[in-house]
Amino acid sequence: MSLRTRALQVTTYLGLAILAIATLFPLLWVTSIALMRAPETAAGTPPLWPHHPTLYNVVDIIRRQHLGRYFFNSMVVAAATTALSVLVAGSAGYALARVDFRGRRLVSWLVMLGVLIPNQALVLPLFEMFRAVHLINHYAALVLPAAANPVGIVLVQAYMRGIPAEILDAARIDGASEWRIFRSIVVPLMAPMLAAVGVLIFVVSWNDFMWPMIAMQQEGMQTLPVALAAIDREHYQDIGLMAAGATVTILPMVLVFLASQRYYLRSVIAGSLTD
Amino acid sequence: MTRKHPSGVLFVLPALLLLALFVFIPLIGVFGLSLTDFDVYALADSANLHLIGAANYWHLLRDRQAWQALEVTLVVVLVGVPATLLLSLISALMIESIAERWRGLFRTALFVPVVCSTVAIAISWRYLLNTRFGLVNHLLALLGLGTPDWLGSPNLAILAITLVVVWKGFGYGMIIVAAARREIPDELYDAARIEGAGVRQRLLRITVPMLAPTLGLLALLDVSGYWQLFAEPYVLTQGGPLGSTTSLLLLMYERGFRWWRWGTASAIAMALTAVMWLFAWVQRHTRAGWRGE
Amino acid sequence: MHVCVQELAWSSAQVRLLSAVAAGDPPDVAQVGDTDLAMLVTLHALRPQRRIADDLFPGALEVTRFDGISYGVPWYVDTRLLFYRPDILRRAGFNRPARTWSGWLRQMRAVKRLLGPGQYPLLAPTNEYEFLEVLALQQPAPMLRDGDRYGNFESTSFRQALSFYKGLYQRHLAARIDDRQLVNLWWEMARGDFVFYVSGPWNIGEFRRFLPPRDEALWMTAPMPGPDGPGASIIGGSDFVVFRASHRASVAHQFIRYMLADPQQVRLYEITGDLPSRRGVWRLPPLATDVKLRAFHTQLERVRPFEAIPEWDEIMDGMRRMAARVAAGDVSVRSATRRFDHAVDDWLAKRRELLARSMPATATAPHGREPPVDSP
Repeated sequence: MSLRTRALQVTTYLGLAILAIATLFPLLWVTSIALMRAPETAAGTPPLWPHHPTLYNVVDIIRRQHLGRYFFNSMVVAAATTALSVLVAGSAGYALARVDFRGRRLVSWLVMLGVLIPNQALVLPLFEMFRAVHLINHYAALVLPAAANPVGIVLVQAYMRGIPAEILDAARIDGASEWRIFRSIVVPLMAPMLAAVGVLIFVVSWNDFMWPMIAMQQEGMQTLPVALAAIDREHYQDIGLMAAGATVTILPMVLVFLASQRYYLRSVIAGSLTD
Repeated sequence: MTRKHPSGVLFVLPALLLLALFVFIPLIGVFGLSLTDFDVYALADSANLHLIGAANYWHLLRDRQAWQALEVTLVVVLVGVPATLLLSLISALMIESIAERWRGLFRTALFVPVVCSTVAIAISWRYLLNTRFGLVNHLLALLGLGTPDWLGSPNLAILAITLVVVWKGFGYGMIIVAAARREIPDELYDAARIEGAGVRQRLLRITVPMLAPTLGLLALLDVSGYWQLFAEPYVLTQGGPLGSTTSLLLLMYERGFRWWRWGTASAIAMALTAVMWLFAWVQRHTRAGWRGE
Repeated sequence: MHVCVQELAWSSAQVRLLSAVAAGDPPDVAQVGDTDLAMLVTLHALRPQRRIADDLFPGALEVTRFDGISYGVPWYVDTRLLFYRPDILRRAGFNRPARTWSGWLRQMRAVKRLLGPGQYPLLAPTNEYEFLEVLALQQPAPMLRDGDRYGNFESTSFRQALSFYKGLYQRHLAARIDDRQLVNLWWEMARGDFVFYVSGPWNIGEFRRFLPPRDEALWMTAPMPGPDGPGASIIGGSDFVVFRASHRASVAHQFIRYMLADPQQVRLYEITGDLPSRRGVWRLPPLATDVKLRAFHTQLERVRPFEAIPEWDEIMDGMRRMAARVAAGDVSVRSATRRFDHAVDDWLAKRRELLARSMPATATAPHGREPPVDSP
């Protein structure tokens, strides 16, 4: 190996190490602050490491700010959104890719148009709509709009295009009904993609902020990031408390990501190859 | 082969229904609202609601806050997107060039910010970037580089926001670029090597052109995301100092949900959507150009 | 009596109440903030209130009055004044905070010499409008004119307040930071990073929560200084209202009377730190015995009402943004106030239109801009 290649390799590892420190350090530091108490946190720059680690802040924010309740809301909303989205995206994505019906091109076009509409620009009429049917402050106000996710449909559609049509045609010749084909052949075929879309949507839903803040105005109905931002407006000066809140909000998604990395990264990649 | 199956409609019906209810009808709704003077008086009594044509749009043209918000959002897009693309590209190429067993570790490490809640991230960075007690300035002071007022000076605040956005976003592109890099056949590189092309030439003549379509698509995804900048300034700076971090969406939110001026807020939302379409149109056409080569 | 209580987040209370009114289904009684009160009165949603207590702070009562009729009963009150470091002030040669702007400036200049780099005599966070609102209210002319139909920020009065404000920042007497840049304000005060801090009553509790008891002597409260004597401050807080649509007005009345009785008012203070609206309660412990509350009592006797209209918050937020530009030296006081008056006139257009329609007799204000008004 030449000296130059060797040097390039060392630089590469060094560069990656620096980047990894840059991405991980802020997260680790916040976790570390969450385990500190005043005066460590109050007298100037907090140290890198808690000298007397304590769960005081975590307990404090869970008890006094009812973080458990918001955690529960986030879980319910993310889980329901994921379930509904996977169902909707799975069936629509399959049909758009592999079933011929009148208006298919129009629907495909509408879905693509949906991708190009910045959904956060729609919150004003959405608020009016949900207010009119008295669903503001209900989980449905978060779950239903989030399930109208064109990206999920596009992902499944692209994935299904990659699966040979012959498999389905054989079943059709056997006289199986469309529903039966979908249930017993298509779903198992696209299960990996559905899992990927599911994880993707779960994380997006968990982290969503603007619309949940608008739609969940009642105490106790907010999701975790919304509650965190509200607590932040009052307690921003309590760095330990806010660090604990940030950690509690971030950690579940990091765990979900680590556990499902394989699926998650696949959906990210698929998102770039659809066209 | 696919055949005519009327039941296909049933499969897309739920999706169609949801899209219509929560995307297309609201889009029409925003447009409709932007033609009215819907405000808190109208909210309480619909007799106070009037159609006022394009007046909200004319107002917007003379609205210094709106122009400033447009500028702020454009800066984040025009600085943030190239920075993100570059970082995504570099990190992806680096990861693809190291030994297999280390890849997973680095990939995970660089991707983690992507899955983190923006609100929580913004709170964390606010403490990191605190002028007097932040760790960033603590380190800079140790190195004798002064203590910039990251979130307190208008010019730096927007850069700080961009920094956080890029920090959180580049891992996403990295994964995609890395996947696309794996699709480039090794033979191309072998051939180039035989012809005596160096590392740099191989990078510029093969890797970057082959990745161009992927980067083009990534650019659109990043533009679409950064164009909807909201949570970062909401938490980090509340749009300040001097409005220097008030993005279009933040302005829309304030007009809409703090002051209940839904007419103007909707006009801002429409402008936001229109520019988004403009970006998509440009992207589509430049990419077609690349393909034609 | 059985009472159903629904808790509303402060930020969403307004729209919830408005929706309820629009749907014709409001509660019997609600606790609302002052600006929400203006909105509800504009919509004719509230019943006029009877006199419930004789010893309410007059300033608090005044902001519930519209055309001479009171629509709310003040429950707790709120104002802004000075928190300060008595020890540092003494070291600079002063026994107590000044009562006039010029005296206060002298003190801040003297204190500035004792402080190190990065330390400031005054903390008035740039993302809060209340400090400038206080300075402006201390001036003779109001911020709006012609029955709150037009902005009056170009008046000499407001320009004087804004110039004073600008001077504080330009001479580096006030720290140019928004409150998000504070990591732990109370420790920073205790360390001497700031000597004066303009804030409200909740900070009494916060100081005690964050500082150890031995540091109690490190901070004190004092009323606001004024242009040429003890200064007025703003009045805020929360009122009980009874909705016009309620069929149980007399029961509602009874409920409010109960909530305003001594034990309930003391209890409110003990639980939340909110200040009771009845003077009589201030003669009872623990309010009577706390030296740090005395300045609040004094200040609450010297408040000036704000312009009670629905657009007030928006105008104040705009004023804050405009003042930040002036303090940064981006724009002169003169042109900033002129431009701001135009913006305010824009925001009040719908209000003028509504007033002209609902009260043609009183809508005598001429249309179009007039020279600023300087007599109250």
